[in-house]
Parts: sequence; C-alpha cells; structure tokens
Amino acid sequence: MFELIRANKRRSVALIASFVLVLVLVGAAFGLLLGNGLMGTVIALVFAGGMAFFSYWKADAIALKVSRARPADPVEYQRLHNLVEGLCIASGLPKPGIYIVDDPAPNAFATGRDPKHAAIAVTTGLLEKLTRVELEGVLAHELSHIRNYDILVSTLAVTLVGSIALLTNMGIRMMWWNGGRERRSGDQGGGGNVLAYAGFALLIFAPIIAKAMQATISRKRETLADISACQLTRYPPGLISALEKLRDDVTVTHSASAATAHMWIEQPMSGVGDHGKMGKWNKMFDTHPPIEERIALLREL
Amino acid sequence: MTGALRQMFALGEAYPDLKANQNFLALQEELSATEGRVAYARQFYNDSVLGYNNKLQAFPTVFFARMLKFDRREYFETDEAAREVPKVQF
Repeated sequence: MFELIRANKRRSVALIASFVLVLVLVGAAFGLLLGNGLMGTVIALVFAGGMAFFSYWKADAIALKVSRARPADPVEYQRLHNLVEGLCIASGLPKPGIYIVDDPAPNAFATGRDPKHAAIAVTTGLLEKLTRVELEGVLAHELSHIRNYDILVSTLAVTLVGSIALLTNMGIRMMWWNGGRERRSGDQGGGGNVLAYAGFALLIFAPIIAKAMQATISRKRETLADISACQLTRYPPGLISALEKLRDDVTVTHSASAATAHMWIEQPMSGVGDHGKMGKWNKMFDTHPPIEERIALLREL
Repeated sequence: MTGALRQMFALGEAYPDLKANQNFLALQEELSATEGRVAYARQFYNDSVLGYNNKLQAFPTVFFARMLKFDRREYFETDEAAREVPKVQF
C-alpha cells in the first residue's frame, strides 16, 4: 500500500517534469519561427499562470457555486458530519467544509487549495444510496484528494496545458501572417527546412499531447486517492462496494459540467463507456481510470 | 465500546419499534461515530509512531536522530480494562 502511494507520487512528479519539457520544446519551435522563443514562452507562462493562480485561489468558491452546493446542516446531516470528523482524526487534517448538492445521481467531489481551505460536497443521491461504510470510503477518497494536494497538482497541469495552447495558437497565427517580417523564410531558400517542418508538426500536436498528459495525471491522482482512502479507513471493501454502486447507477450527474468533471469521484459525463470505434483514443482523454480497474486494484490490497 | 454497540443493535432487533424511533437511531449513530473516533485517534497515533520510527532508521534523518539521541516510541495498545464492555442502560 505504502509502496503504491510512493510510486504514484513519483509518477506525478515525472509527468509534470515531462510537461515542462514539452513546453520548452514548443518554446523552441516558437523561437525558430520568431527568432526569439524565450520571450514568447515567458509571456505564455506568465499569462496562463496568472489565470490559473486566480482560479487556484478561488477554486473552492467557484467549484461549489458552479455545482450549486449548499452547506450541510450539522443536525440534519449528522452522519455525514460524524464520518468526516472521524476521518479527519485519522488523517490529522482540520475538518473541511461540508456541502450538499441536490442531485439524485450518487457522486461527490473535493476542492480547496490546501487542507485549511477545503470543502467536500456530496450529492443527495449519494447519501440515499450508500450505506454508512460505503459513504465512509467515498469520503476518505475525497479527503485524500485534499491531503495529497490534488487541487494544486491539477492547477499546475492546467497552467502548463494553458501556456502550451497559448504558445501554439500564437505560433500558428504568426506563421499565417509571416511573423511581421518582410521576407518569407522561403525566400532565403534551403537550410533549416527540416527543423521548420518538425517545429510545425510540434505546434500542431503539442496541445493534443498536453491534453492527454493532463488526463493521465488526473487518472494517476484518482488511483492515488483510492489507495490513500484505504490507508485511512483500513477497510477496502467499503470503497469497493461504493464504487460498484456508482458503476451500476445510470443516473447522470446534472450538477457537473465539463469544467468540473475531473473533480468528481466518478466521471459524471454521460456516454462514458460507449466510446465506439475511437474508444482507445478517447480513453487517453478520460480524467478517471475505468471504474473496473479501480475496483480490481482495491481488491488486491 | 464495540460490545456496547453490538448490545444496542441486538436490542434494536429484539424490539422492532425501537428501530423506527428517531432518538434510538440518533443514539446508535452517535455510538458508532464515537467508536470510530476512538479507533481513528489510536490509528493516527500509531501511524505517526510508525512514520517517526521509520525516520529514525532511514537516510538521511538517521544521522540527526543519532546525534540528538532521539528514542524510538512505543505503539499504543489498549489494556484489558479498556476492552471491557461498557454497560448501556435504558
């Protein structure tokens, strides 16, 4: 269990590192076009960073608002509060804010930039359909997201994806308008063309690669949260049967949007699972590992 | 604690009316939650001891631990008296 947790953390770091590498490569391709790639990279990074920083600072408030969550009443939702308190004792975290989303589909998400400013939201459907033990498993999963700073990790990923998208967009448009130079590079003839083609290909494919990498990071964090949850509850069957119930439930979470999809315990979008012909490719962009895989992994603990 | 809980659930089985009673359900929930808190507190302490003891033996913290003469800590284990069933009277 502990080895799995360490391996997952290592992989997250490796992914972020290769992310930065892609960004540098894109910057280099950009430089080839413009003659000064460093400046463009810096601008894109600052711009995307600024936007991400704002959303990071306001992450909890925005996410809760978008999902129409309301604070959970401690008397009405006594069991929910009790379970979270217990898990907080087990993990040594302060108690996060607890919110309810009125939605018949069973689902839950966690948000907040650090354990001191965190919130867990669950749907009314989840409270109705899960038993006490299963609910505890789900809450432990969400609390693990908070403990592992997953909001920070995904913000980092979003920043990098954002700056790569920004750079490639600028690059491709500049090629269209010849980068403000008077002569076309073709005028000079020969030399550097191979590099230019490679750079062009990179500019086109980088955003797609970046998106896939972001999804990979998200999937790794889900697995990590599943395992950490069992470290808290010491009872994998609870989370397993909760995941089975989520899998068998066909209600679509209406309170989730594409923007918050990655935060929920189960991928809330409809049509997940019927990928059809492009299945293998679409899978690369899923924010969650297939629920079967998650159950299988937990069974091994 | 666990014993008291089992006693209560048994009581609920014996008198079906009780299971429908809000106060009874609330008490049952509170007992479960309290039992959980005690167990989790113990678990957190023992997890911390495990982490601490590992650090004492692992690189690079082992050098500081030796230099400053840090000692190993014992795990928390309940004694016999604490394991006895508390009485729930109605």
